[in-house]
Amino acid sequence: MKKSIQILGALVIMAVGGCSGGGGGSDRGLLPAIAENASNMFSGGRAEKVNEFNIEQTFGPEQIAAMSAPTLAGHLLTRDVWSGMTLAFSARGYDTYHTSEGIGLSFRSDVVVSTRGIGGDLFASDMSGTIRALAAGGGGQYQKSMRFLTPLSGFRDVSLTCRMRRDNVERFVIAQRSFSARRYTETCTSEGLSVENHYFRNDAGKILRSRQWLGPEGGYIELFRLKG
Amino acid sequence: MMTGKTTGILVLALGAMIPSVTLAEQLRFPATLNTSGVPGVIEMPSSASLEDGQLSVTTAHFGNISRNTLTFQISDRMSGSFRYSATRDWPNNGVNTYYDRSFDLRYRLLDETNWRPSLTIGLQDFVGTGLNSAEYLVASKHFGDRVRVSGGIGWGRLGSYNSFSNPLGLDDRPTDFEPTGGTFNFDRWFHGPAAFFGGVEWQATDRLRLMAEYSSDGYIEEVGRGLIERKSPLNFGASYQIRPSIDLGLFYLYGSEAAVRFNVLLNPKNPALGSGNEGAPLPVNPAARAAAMSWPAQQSLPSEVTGQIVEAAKPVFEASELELEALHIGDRTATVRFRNPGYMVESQAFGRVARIMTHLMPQRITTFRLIPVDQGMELSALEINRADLEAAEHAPDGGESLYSRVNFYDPAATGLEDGVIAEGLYPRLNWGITPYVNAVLFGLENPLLADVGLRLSGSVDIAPGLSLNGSVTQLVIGNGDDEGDIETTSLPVVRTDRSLYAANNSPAIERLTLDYVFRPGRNLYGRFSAGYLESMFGGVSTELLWKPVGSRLAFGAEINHVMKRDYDQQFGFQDYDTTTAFLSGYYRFDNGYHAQLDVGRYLAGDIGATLSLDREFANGWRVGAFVTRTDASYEEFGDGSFDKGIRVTIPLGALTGQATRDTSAFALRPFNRDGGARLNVQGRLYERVREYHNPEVAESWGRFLR
Repeated sequence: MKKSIQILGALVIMAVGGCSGGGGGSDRGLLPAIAENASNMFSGGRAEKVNEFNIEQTFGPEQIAAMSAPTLAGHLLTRDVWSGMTLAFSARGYDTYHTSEGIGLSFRSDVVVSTRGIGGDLFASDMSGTIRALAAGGGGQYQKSMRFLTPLSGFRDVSLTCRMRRDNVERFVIAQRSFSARRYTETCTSEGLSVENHYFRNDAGKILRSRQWLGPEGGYIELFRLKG
Repeated sequence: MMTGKTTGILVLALGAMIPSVTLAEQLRFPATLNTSGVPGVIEMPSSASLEDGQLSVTTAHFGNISRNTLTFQISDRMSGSFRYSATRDWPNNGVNTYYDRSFDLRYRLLDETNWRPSLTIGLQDFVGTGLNSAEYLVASKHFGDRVRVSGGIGWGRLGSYNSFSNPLGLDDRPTDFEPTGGTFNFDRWFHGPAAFFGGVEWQATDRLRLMAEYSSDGYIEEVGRGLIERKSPLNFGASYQIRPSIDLGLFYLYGSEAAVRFNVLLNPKNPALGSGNEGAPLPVNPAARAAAMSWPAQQSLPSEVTGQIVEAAKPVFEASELELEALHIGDRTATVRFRNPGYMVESQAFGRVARIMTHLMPQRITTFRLIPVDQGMELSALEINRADLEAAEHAPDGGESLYSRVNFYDPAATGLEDGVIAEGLYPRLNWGITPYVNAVLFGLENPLLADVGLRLSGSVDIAPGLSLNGSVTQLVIGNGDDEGDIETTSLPVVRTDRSLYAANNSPAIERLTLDYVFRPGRNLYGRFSAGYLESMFGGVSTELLWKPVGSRLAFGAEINHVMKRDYDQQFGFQDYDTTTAFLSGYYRFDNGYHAQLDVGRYLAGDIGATLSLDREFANGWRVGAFVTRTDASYEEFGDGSFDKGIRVTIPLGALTGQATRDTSAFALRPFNRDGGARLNVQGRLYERVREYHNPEVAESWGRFLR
């Protein structure tokens, strides 16, 4: 009976939070994670602009220290909306971050591999070329594929030919803290399409800041690592 | 029964399903909609087409004439239109405005090439009184990217100015109006004098389009009645695209009349919110991590433990817009029965349940069996291997190949085993108060009859399959009883006295039924309903459906014995009872086309068949048409000659982007008469069942991991 109570306890925690990441690791209950962090970071809902937000100044080290999980700030450029996203789940090399509005972004090696809830979602992708090029510090031509969900539940595929260029080390400020990281510029082309992504990668191999293309509808998102 | 001519029209409609070449060549710039709401120049038609699946609503006004048109691009080549016109100062039916309803059908015969124009054949007002009836052949050719020239030959209304002898030799065209209207005017089609028409469109800027045309519509009747002046055959105008889906046109017609035309376009294939922005799903929890959960070592759990798990899991399902009905945890397989109140696309509901199960179940559970239920009735079962789900979550193919590895079958014989039903489901009371609108649109004497009020709805889920359902309405305001004199024929009055029901100002029992749904066997579904089945009839209704999970074909049988309810919609009945019975066949074609044939006895005792053809989109949009022919003669039927109409279903989730199965549906009938009238019993089986079957699930599988 004791065992069953333990199970029940685990599930109740899951239930109150809306779900569970299971047993240990870096995952947390999704709803508490979102409630504690993301929704406190930015006011406004899914479509609300937060024009006053300044990634350099609005937050300081104290607020960052109070965050209990890895957290990103995201700026969806096409809609000019900001939102915070907290690591909700991490498994099999993929990290999934959720915003308070229910939007989800999954990353592999800090590269966005899928989105959920943005509209015209990046449903799946093969970003292994990008990840390899970043790890190698730039390099030659490679392919990546992006698959988007259509309104009629079908898929639209985009295949891109890309190159990664190693640029200079730059200094920038996130939440009143100064960082230096090397900029990598990824240029990708497809028929009638040209995309330029930026990744700022520090010496430890972590991407602190990036601009990544999510698709024809999602456009570009700027991502800033606040914690983790 | 249907005549050969009626069948011919429906065969023509089915012909729209035949795939054709892409429309891309036709869309140098999108079609302009003319004052009749069909692709055209200003008043005249062109050979351009809307995008496949596009819906347009157009309203145009000039002089004493107003036209409101709904056009649907049924397929790449075929479009259909319903039009409601009002001509003021033209007395008819005791009112000073002539209201007319008409249908159009167009088919693009040839696509444009470098050297050849596209060619379209059109029937205008081809079923009706014939007031606006016309036929045409029109060709259109682009010159560069900004100019489109159209020219054609018209008959009927479009052959009424500067006409010449019919080149087909069919000079004799009836000119009188059909007495009851509503029939196919075969004897008019392409008969009588013909005339040429033409026009040019110039896309001046990205948003502005200028047009000029030569009209072959003589407006003979209108000019004769002094309703408009027609000084010239030339029309000029401009069209401005306010937004990509909204267009405003201003025209100068016939040397005397100013006109305005406004149209809105929407395409179910391309809704404003794209693929939707409902919240992200739970990530898939790997089985290896689930092992860390403290599960007992024994393979089979005591039912009280499973019950505790069920109760703890219920809020998790609710957070995902789902409802947990029952859970059974076996040695290697966990079976979950769930309700789907949230997702219009059923594959998405399956996917979300599967994701939840990865968080609930220990590592030893390698297979999930997902069973959607409706009032306790199993609809289908999807069996998925846990490892396959994990592998598919981030796979570059988005889970597309996962479908080939799931087992999709009928769970009718599996039963609940020793699974546990969630507490609080049986019995459970659900209720709500909502506003309602009952509207009859586009009447002969009144364009809009509508009642607005409040509806108290309630249901008690008594046991799996058994429920008590009802609703009470209270009229607040409306003119539903303002339908004028009831025109009766020799048929029993079963629908034409609806205004007497609408006149009830007291609380009305709209519906009160005891319903039972059940699975009599594999591939079989049953329903029994008794009580006040709808606002005008009460009695008993029973139905049996045969629908294999993987079949495009289904058959149903329905028998109802009903009595006509009192006008006060309390508990009493009038002195009319009847038995109606139908055999139904359903078939789901490719590309979302769906056909249904119902053959049987209708409420007024007439015997015949209803054929329905719908175009359905995977996101829940539906646009369709239906026609009923029975042994009631045109005279017995009255105005309209026989029952027919079009219907549109709009999924509200496609408008809001949120997870909901709510829809808004409406049907447009030229006439709602006693002939061909069916019982409006709630909860017919086919629509409840087939959404969880193939090909629907397979076609929308892309959303499984959404």
